[in-house]
Amino acid sequence: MGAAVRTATSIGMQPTWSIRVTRSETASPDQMAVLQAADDKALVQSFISGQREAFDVLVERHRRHVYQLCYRFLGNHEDASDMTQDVFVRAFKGLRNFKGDSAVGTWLYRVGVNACLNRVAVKQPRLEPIEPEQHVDQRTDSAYDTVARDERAVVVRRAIAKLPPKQRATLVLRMYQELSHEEIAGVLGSSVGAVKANFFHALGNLKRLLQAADAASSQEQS
Amino acid sequence: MTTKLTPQELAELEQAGLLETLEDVRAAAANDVPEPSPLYWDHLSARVKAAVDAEPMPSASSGWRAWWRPIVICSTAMATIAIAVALRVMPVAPAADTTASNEAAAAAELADASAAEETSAMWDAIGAVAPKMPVSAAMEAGLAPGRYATDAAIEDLTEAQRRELVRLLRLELSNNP
Repeated sequence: MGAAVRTATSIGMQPTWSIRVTRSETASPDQMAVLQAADDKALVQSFISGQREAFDVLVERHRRHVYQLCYRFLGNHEDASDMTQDVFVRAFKGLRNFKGDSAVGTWLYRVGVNACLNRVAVKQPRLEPIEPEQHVDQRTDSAYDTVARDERAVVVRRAIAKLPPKQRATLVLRMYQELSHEEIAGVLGSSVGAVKANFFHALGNLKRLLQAADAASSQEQS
Repeated sequence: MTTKLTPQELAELEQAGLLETLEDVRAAAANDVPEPSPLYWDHLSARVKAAVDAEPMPSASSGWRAWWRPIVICSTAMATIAIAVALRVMPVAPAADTTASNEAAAAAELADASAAEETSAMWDAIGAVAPKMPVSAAMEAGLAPGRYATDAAIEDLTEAQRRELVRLLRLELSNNP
């Protein structure tokens, strides 16, 4: 019995509420070992049959890719982290409706892309500056090359953020997440032909945006 | 970056002058996501677990509930519309009018309608009551026809019905000079 209930009853009050203690049933180490060894589809089946821990294993398995996807859309760690959590909560609610037509990872990408596109539609992403020392292999690059490459990467990322949503999603999934056209079609719910066209148009638009950015930059310098 | 583009894709991109842009994207894609601290992933899992634990376990029936609800709503809406349309197209009961000529017109219409819808108990009841109802009583009961109702009723008559209406009106006028 909780302390508040004890206090209430000791002074003769009848509490109008109660504390319900529920014991969470966790999987045994053996069960967890079985889940860890299972493939994604088996984990989905285990989840559907009521084994909640199967979802934890799915999270552990796909969290990095989902986070990276979210980061590429949202451009900063905080938003990407929040969105990753949101994507997994959506996946938890919708996993029963997963038909198994595609891989679980592809399905999670679909959930993630939709969530991210909805998010960037209402809030412009805040692109986080990437510190050069985080990424550049200092052994092979001169300081000048490092800075120049890093600046160019920022310009490219900003330009990608300005692309229309479907083109942006296609480019991110193709070039960053390294998905095939067929997988992207599955994620975006469109045809392979549409994906190829979107990829082509995305690069075309990106070229124009980068040219405009270069022109603006050279104007500033002059 | 190991994104594999087919030779055909590369040829198309080269033809469109997009290879340089592709290289820009490739260069920007290298290490574009900062690697969080190694502790972050467990922290993320714990956050997700806490958020998910706050959610009820999705029930097995949630799937079919999701699709039968719209069907029920649509069916109800369609039934409502069908009833509304049926009521709208149902012949309006001829109401007692303020003039004797309108009474005659109503009587003529009533005669046709009764013939066409012999099974309509409503028409039978109105046919029995309307001729005996004083105009003032009908007005008080709110049975006066709306604007243009008589014109609309005449428009709907067939040629034979109109001839009969004219005959009844003339008869009525001759009886009440």
